[in-house]
Amino acid sequence: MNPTDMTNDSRENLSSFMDGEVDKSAGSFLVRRLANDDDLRSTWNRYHMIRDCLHQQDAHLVHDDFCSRVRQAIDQEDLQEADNKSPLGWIKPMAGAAIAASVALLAILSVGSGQQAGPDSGPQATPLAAQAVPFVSPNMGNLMPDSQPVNLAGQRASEQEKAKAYLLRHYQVTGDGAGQGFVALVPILVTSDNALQADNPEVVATIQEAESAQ
Amino acid sequence: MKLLAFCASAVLLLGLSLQTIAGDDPQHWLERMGAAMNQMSYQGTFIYIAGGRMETMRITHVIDENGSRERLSSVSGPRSEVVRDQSGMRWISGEDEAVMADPIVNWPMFLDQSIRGLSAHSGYYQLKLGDQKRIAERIGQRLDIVAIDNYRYGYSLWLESDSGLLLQWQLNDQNGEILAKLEFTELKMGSEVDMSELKRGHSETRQIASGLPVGAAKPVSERSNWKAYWLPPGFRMTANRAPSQNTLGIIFQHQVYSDGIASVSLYVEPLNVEAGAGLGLRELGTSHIFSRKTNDVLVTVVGDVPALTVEKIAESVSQNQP
Repeated sequence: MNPTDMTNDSRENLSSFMDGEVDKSAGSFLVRRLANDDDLRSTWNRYHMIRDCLHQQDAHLVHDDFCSRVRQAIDQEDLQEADNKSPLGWIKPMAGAAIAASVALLAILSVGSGQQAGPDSGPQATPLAAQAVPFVSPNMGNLMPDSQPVNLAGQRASEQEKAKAYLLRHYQVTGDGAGQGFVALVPILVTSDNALQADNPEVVATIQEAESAQ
Repeated sequence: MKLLAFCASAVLLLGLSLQTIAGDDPQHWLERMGAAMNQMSYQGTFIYIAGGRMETMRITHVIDENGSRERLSSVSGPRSEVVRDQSGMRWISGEDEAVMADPIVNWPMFLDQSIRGLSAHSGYYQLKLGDQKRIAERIGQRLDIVAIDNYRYGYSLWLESDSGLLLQWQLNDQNGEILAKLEFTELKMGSEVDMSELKRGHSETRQIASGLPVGAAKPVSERSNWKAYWLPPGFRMTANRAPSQNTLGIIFQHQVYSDGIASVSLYVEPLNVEAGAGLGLRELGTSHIFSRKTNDVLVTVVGDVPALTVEKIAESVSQNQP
């Protein structure tokens, strides 16, 4: 399935999932789908890239041109609403800036997929779509910190290494992590590509067990 | 025979008495865990879940006449491991054998005392024992460490009932929601440990300069050039390294602040430092990193604490007035 085939329901569910507004069972289902559906995963990642642009999170990790087009899309959003012909009308309203942000997000998504290439889009759009990054960080509700950012494949290796150097030195100085031994070191390995995505039934079951244990 | 029976009874009573003490006192369980994790040899496989991802890892921790050695490695996927021994720590990642080495940090803490457990008595955490459950074919005693504010995380620990070794670990936010979970599926102790696992993964590697300073440095007082002027209640400076040059000639300052359970590191380095550390907030697993520029230096705060904490600490950092 590609983004042009994606149903409005799928997009709406994805948007809700990103906002942490789906229940646990629906969330688990989406996680499994995301793990197996490349295009849905690309959409998910573009959503986060755009959110990062809008929130200035890790903006240095996102292509400047991409952020510029996000802002342009926000500017055009009023016009799209005025003629009430937006094909993005399925997206549910959100408060304040989030409305514009989400609509802009989908506008860019559509441009990126070539679905609604306008006169100003064109060849730039496809490379952006191709920049879709691997799925890393599904919203798992209770298991996920509120501030969880999405890792971008384009993230500079040097930044990761420097961040890990900070953490490595921190752990070396603090010794045993307040008695918890090696546990403090685990995040250094977890951010590698070794982790299983949550498509494995065992993973889902383990996560659900963790949730129910609360 | 009577002497033997007496000795056996004495040992039994002593054991029962120690178990009773541990059973009644959460603080004692916390101390037992710290001792067990550092002074015992153990080896096992565990799963780690955070952010909807799961990874299986293996830990080998050995204490013998050669000191403490540790190897933490991923079980599947691209090779990734952290090795710690008397020469320092090395992070090895990927099939291209990239490695980041950090020689052992050898500087005394100017606060030469352990503050572990301090916060358990000072009101920043509440300790409470929970029910036992079976984990990795062993009995685990639950110990909850509940943070009283949003500046630190809480923990739920399941400790092996005989040794105090960690069997399961959960990182919780203030609402008790699980941010990450680690659980052993298999655990060996003492003579059961396969020492050969420590040697695996050692090979010729390409070293990546970490940019961090190496070698010893003199301890300094709290009157260093830079410091954090805001800390969460209960935090205090536990280590401070005078500004020193690393092998790349970079002047670097590193301080550690802790409440006895949670800790953060403050790094101050020149803005022209190599490697783009980026600015603002980043996450590395459950750790948060916040960097900002000020007065031609890059201030970075790192720790396994909420984003709010690293950000507020970093924003408060400034140079001491002469």
